[in-house]
Amino acid sequence: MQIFGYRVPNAMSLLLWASAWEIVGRAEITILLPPLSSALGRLLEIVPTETFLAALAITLQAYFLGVGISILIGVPLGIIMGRSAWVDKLILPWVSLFVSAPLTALVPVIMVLFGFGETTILLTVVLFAIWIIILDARAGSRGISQSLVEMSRSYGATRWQAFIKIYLWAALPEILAGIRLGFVRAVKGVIIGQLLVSVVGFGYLFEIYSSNFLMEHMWALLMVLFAFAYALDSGMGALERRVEYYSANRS
Amino acid sequence: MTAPGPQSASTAGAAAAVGVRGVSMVYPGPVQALQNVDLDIPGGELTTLLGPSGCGKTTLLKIIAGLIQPAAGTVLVNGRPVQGPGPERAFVFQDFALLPWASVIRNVAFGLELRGVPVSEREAVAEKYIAEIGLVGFERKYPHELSIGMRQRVGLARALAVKADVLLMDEPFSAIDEQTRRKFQEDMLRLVSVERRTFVFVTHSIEEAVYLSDRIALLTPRPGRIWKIIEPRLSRALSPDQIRREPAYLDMVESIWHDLKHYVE
Amino acid sequence: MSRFDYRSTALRVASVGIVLAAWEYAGRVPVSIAFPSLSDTVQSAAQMVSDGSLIRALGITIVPLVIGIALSTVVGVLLGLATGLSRRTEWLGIPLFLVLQAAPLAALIPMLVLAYGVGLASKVLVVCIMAVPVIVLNSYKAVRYTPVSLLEMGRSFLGSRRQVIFKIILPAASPVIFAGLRLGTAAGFVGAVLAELLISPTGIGDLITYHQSVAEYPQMYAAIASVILLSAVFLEILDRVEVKLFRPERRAI
Repeated sequence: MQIFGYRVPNAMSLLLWASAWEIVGRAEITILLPPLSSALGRLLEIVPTETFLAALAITLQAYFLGVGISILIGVPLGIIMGRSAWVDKLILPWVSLFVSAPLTALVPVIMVLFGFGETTILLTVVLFAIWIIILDARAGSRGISQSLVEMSRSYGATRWQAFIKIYLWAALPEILAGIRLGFVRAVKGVIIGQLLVSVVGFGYLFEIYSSNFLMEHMWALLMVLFAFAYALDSGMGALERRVEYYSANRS
Repeated sequence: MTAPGPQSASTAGAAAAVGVRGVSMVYPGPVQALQNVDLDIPGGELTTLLGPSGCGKTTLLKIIAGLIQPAAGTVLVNGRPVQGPGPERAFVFQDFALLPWASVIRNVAFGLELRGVPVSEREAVAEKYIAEIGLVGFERKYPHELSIGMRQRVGLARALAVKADVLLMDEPFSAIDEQTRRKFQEDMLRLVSVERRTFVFVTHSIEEAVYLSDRIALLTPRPGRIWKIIEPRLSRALSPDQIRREPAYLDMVESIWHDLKHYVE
Repeated sequence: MSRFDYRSTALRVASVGIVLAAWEYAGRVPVSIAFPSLSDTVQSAAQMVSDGSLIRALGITIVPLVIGIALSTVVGVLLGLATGLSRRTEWLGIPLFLVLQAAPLAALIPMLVLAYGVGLASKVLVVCIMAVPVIVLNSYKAVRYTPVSLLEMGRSFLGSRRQVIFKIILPAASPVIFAGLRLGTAAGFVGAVLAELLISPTGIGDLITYHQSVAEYPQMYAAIASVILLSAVFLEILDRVEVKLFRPERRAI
């Protein structure tokens, strides 16, 4: 946007909201919202502590492992679905169902089957992330131009070669878009998983803070999570943009 | 060509004349799209803006339509300067700009709908023009069910339906295949003789310009300028097919091509 | 029906059948004590419907959900319109909503529930917080990127600002807005269920945790399946509403 002809960057908007937070917090309008500065202060306090770092380690581990598994299973599955009509018809109804279902409701199932530990969190992450990754990989795969397919066959590529050298790259923009959404959903997954299995990771910390009404601590934690999610999302966005250059030119 | 058909009810008085005075347009860059353009567009005739890509012809057309504000200069319609779009001018878009969620009849009546004309009245007008462009029976269809050529005709009917004096057409046939295009050009000739309005046509096809126009303004790019005015003066008594084989027609096309050759990238 | 149609229906039936059969088998084996068979689950579902507990629970969950989604839709679309139409509002609102959308807003739920309880108002609040960001962002995107040629056409035929918004921008934007509503509804469901799972005792979440705590797994699974089915039904209704009200041309597709 422009003020008096000067371009104001979007980051300034966030600064504006941050100041608003500070003011509202100082005015003590609600117990739920402490001033930004005190939450930041607590943040600096908590981060170096052992409890926090342990919780962070558990969370990051479950997160990246979970996303990794989702990508390793989801992308190939999506691509296969895009190329094979009968696999697609068989699996798509379930993927469509689960991509917009309240997966939160399924977490108790995972909990009773796998206990109250890290495995459950890991599976929750996979549960949340995998469906959108499959769907977008499928979309990318379906969008692969027929000419590319015919070209690969006429030059004698094996199924494996075609997959690695052509299909993966042709579908890459959509695949990355799906992975980006998967990252965001995985964050929700790891948090929700930990909230429900409250003896592990950040869920445990949340439990302690909330039951003791330590609002500043809660917000400090929330800020860490929000910043993490945002950074991940922006990072993926940047990656997507680098790949985007050829997506417009695909026939 | 067959004798002109009955006059349409819209031509009550003389058709409007358009005057372009000193129009310049600059885009950020800076790119001088148009420089000091002066042009007279006589009423009741079809004038074409012809030139290669980048010569500013669509920009000029949109300035006349009032969709773009020029950096300098004015546009006069019947001697009065215009700011922005007006009821006396109607625009036909290159990509049709039809509402995909509306039926053909609603699309044709859309200009009237925006003016607050009641439903039954505007649909009656729309039906008349749907018949005139030859799409009877398609009133309830949606744009995605029509061929490209049909969609273009809907856009044209919409512009006709608002009974504007000046019709501005932005490369209306460029998206259409060759065979259909020739047919449309012939229909266009018939339309111009029947409707007696002022038509301003933009194209990059020399044949199309010579075939259809009473007057051609040749534009050249960088910066966009009017370079030459040509009046084909082809005999309208000839049939459409005969015109295309007339030596006068062929010679004119060649000479314009020769002139424009310098400016093709 | 052509041969192709038979095949695709057959495949769809097979797909459902395989999963259901696998479920039944896994339950019989049993894969785990905590994994009931399909037939047990269906049986307990029927029983819960007949004694009213399932319907009552779903009812308690649905009310704040519907209210919350309705509110979120109105607020979200209005905000999306405002940010899509004005650069100033865009600058003010969109960076904030981008952060909110990527963030795990679910983390706020324990706090909210703790402070405001699990009454109707706080549940509605939870649903709104989960749903509004994605609705706003989708509506914004749809409005901001209305095809220029349609806008020009509206201007060329002398449409007023109000006419252009209601007759051109909103209908053109409706597919993406509805995509946002779908995502928002899904997020709202997550919010409602999570709030109930975390701090009961209300609604379907309570039913789930209760049966879980007394190890009555068929009932627990039945409750879970019911909420998943409910959300699928909701989304289907949303689809139908969209086609009926806004995009009649899609009926033909």
